[in-house]
Amino acid sequence: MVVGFNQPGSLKIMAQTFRHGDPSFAGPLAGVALGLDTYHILELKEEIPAPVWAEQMAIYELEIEETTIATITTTLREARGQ
Amino acid sequence: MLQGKKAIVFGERDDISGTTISTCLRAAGCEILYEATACFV
Repeated sequence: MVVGFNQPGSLKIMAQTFRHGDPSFAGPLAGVALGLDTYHILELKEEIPAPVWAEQMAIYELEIEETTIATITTTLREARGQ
Repeated sequence: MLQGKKAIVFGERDDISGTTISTCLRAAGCEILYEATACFV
Protein backbone atom coordinates (compact mmCIF):
# COMPACT_ATOMS: atom_id res chain seq x y z
CA MET A 1 0.00 0.00 0.00
CA VAL A 2 1.30 3.45 -0.88
CA VAL A 3 -0.69 6.44 0.32
CA GLY A 4 -0.57 10.18 -0.20
CA PHE A 5 -2.58 11.69 2.60
CA ASN A 6 -0.99 13.46 5.51
CA GLN A 7 -3.19 12.94 8.57
CA PRO A 8 -1.21 10.71 10.99
CA GLY A 9 -4.35 9.52 12.81
CA SER A 10 -6.02 8.34 9.62
CA LEU A 11 -2.78 6.79 8.40
CA LYS A 12 -2.44 4.76 11.58
CA ILE A 13 -5.95 3.34 11.27
CA MET A 14 -5.50 2.55 7.57
CA ALA A 15 -2.12 0.89 8.12
CA GLN A 16 -3.52 -1.23 10.96
CA THR A 17 -6.54 -2.19 8.87
CA PHE A 18 -4.51 -3.46 5.92
CA ARG A 19 -2.00 -5.30 8.12
CA HIS A 20 -4.06 -6.67 11.00
CA GLY A 21 -7.70 -6.06 10.03
CA ASP A 22 -10.18 -3.32 10.91
CA PRO A 23 -9.39 -2.20 14.50
CA SER A 24 -12.95 -0.91 14.97
CA PHE A 25 -14.50 -4.22 13.81
CA ALA A 26 -17.03 -2.12 11.89
CA GLY A 27 -16.11 -2.81 8.28
CA PRO A 28 -15.66 -5.80 5.95
CA LEU A 29 -12.00 -6.19 6.98
CA ALA A 30 -12.90 -6.84 10.65
CA GLY A 31 -10.78 -9.80 11.72
CA VAL A 32 -9.21 -10.09 8.26
CA ALA A 33 -5.42 -9.71 8.46
CA LEU A 34 -4.16 -9.04 4.93
CA GLY A 35 -0.57 -8.55 6.13
CA LEU A 36 0.04 -5.61 3.78
CA ASP A 37 2.63 -2.99 4.68
CA THR A 38 1.69 0.67 4.22
CA TYR A 39 4.14 3.34 3.08
CA HIS A 40 3.71 7.06 2.53
CA ILE A 41 5.10 8.22 -0.80
CA LEU A 42 7.43 10.61 1.05
CA GLU A 43 9.14 7.60 2.66
CA LEU A 44 10.03 6.28 -0.79
CA LYS A 45 11.86 9.37 -2.08
CA GLU A 46 15.20 7.58 -2.35
CA GLU A 47 13.62 4.93 -4.59
CA ILE A 48 12.13 7.35 -7.13
CA PRO A 49 14.30 8.68 -9.99
CA ALA A 50 15.29 12.25 -9.09
CA PRO A 51 13.92 13.96 -12.24
CA VAL A 52 10.52 12.30 -11.76
CA TRP A 53 10.48 13.21 -8.07
CA ALA A 54 11.33 16.83 -8.87
CA GLU A 55 8.57 17.07 -11.46
CA GLN A 56 5.85 15.26 -9.52
CA MET A 57 6.57 15.62 -5.81
CA ALA A 58 8.76 18.66 -5.14
CA ILE A 59 5.85 21.04 -4.65
CA TYR A 60 4.08 18.68 -2.23
CA GLU A 61 7.28 18.15 -0.29
CA LEU A 62 7.59 21.89 0.22
CA GLU A 63 4.00 22.19 1.46
CA ILE A 64 4.30 19.58 4.21
CA GLU A 65 5.98 20.61 7.45
CA GLU A 66 8.99 18.58 8.55
CA THR A 67 7.35 17.73 11.88
CA THR A 68 4.39 16.27 9.99
CA ILE A 69 6.71 14.19 7.81
CA ALA A 70 8.50 12.91 10.92
CA THR A 71 5.18 12.01 12.57
CA ILE A 72 3.98 10.20 9.43
CA THR A 73 7.22 8.24 9.16
CA THR A 74 7.19 7.25 12.84
CA THR A 75 3.51 6.26 12.72
CA LEU A 76 3.91 4.03 9.67
CA ARG A 77 7.15 2.43 10.86
CA GLU A 78 5.41 1.45 14.10
CA ALA A 79 2.46 0.09 12.13
CA ARG A 80 4.87 -2.03 10.04
CA GLY A 81 6.53 -3.32 13.20
CA GLN A 82 9.89 -1.71 12.40
CA MET B 1 13.47 -1.96 -3.42
CA LEU B 2 10.51 -1.11 -5.69
CA GLN B 3 11.63 -2.80 -8.91
CA GLY B 4 9.18 -5.59 -9.73
CA LYS B 5 6.95 -4.90 -6.72
CA LYS B 6 3.19 -4.53 -6.93
CA ALA B 7 1.41 -1.63 -5.23
CA ILE B 8 -2.04 -0.43 -4.29
CA VAL B 9 -2.23 3.37 -4.31
CA PHE B 10 -4.56 5.61 -2.34
CA GLY B 11 -4.17 9.33 -3.01
CA GLU B 12 -5.89 12.22 -1.31
CA ARG B 13 -7.67 14.94 -3.22
CA ASP B 14 -6.32 17.74 -1.00
CA ASP B 15 -2.86 16.24 -0.42
CA ILE B 16 -1.01 14.00 -2.90
CA SER B 17 -3.09 12.50 -5.71
CA GLY B 18 -3.05 8.86 -6.71
CA THR B 19 -1.94 9.80 -10.22
CA THR B 20 1.15 11.56 -8.87
CA ILE B 21 2.06 8.62 -6.64
CA SER B 22 1.56 6.12 -9.45
CA THR B 23 3.75 8.12 -11.83
CA CYS B 24 6.57 8.08 -9.28
CA LEU B 25 6.20 4.37 -8.52
CA ARG B 26 6.08 3.33 -12.19
CA ALA B 27 9.27 5.32 -12.81
CA ALA B 28 10.88 3.19 -10.09
CA GLY B 29 9.78 -0.05 -11.79
CA CYS B 30 6.73 -0.77 -9.65
CA GLU B 31 3.51 -2.25 -11.02
CA ILE B 32 0.29 -0.47 -9.94
CA LEU B 33 -2.53 -2.92 -9.23
CA TYR B 34 -5.09 -0.34 -8.12
CA GLU B 35 -5.16 3.42 -7.86
CA ALA B 36 -7.72 5.74 -6.34
CA THR B 37 -7.89 9.35 -5.23
CA ALA B 38 -10.46 10.25 -2.61
CA CYS B 39 -11.26 12.89 -0.03
CA PHE B 40 -10.68 11.41 3.43
CA VAL B 41 -11.72 14.53 5.36
